[in-house]
Amino acid sequence: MSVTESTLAIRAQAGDLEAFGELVELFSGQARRVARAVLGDPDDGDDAAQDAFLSALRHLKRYDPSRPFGPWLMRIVANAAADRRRRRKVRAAEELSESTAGGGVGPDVETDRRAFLEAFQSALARLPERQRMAVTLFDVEGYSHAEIADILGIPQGTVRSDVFHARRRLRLALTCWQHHWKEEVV
Amino acid sequence: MRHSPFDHRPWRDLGRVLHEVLEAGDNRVFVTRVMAEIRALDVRPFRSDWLEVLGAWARPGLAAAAALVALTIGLTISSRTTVAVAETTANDALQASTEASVLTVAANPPDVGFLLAIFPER
Repeated sequence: MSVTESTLAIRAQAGDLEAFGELVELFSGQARRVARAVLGDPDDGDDAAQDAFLSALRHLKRYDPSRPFGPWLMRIVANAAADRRRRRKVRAAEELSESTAGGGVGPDVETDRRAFLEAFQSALARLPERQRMAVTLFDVEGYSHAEIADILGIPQGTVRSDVFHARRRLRLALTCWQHHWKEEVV
Repeated sequence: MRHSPFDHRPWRDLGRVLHEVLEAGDNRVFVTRVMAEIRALDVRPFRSDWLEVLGAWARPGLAAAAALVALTIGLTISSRTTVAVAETTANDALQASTEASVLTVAANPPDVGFLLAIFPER
């Protein structure tokens, strides 16, 4: 655990808003990415991340400074994003075209990185919510299986399974990009 | 080297693309927005919800009240029992007993063994 985040959290618990501001700065990228992984939409993701930071500040006295701040915050972010999704009935996966990421339309010579990223985003959106969170927390944010299990409130074995299935489904969905991106992911 | 979905180590290439896809823009703007919201709503970590304060007070309060009630009931029962025992005479006990009332209301004469049992030898 970083000494900085622990110190900042203790100062914030004592009512130091500047310290909390530094924590927001440290974790805003991570919180926004995780929220966006759940909600699909960047604006919704930012709203959820903001809700999470406000909630974290309100309940900061419940945080144990001897433990890492990141997993504690990510649990709040995951809950805030899931709550927002339930409230707004956001179904990003349904809104996205099936043909964008599937095997129907293959890349041609003019296909660029942007098109690949759009296809990737679409494939990600079609994953079950928990798999999206698990693969994001593991492969993007670098949390361990144990930490993700704690964040999502599920057994470690389920986290491993979710990460595996998410990776496999992403790889399958993007097979048509193999030649273009073989060195990258597929 | 190709990465396998079975691999239980972070898949850096996948992570890099995911990171790019999920990146939501300028973090400074977001941080400013969050801090402005916190100041506008006057959110503070040390301010407890009134329910939590009430709950914190209620738990020891209820325990103390329960202990007091139990003590009062115990003392009341104890004192009443003592008084009742002290005021009861041998005559009262005899009149209250079912066996003795049987002697006065029975149509047939009592059994000798029964009488000997009620009035033991001195």
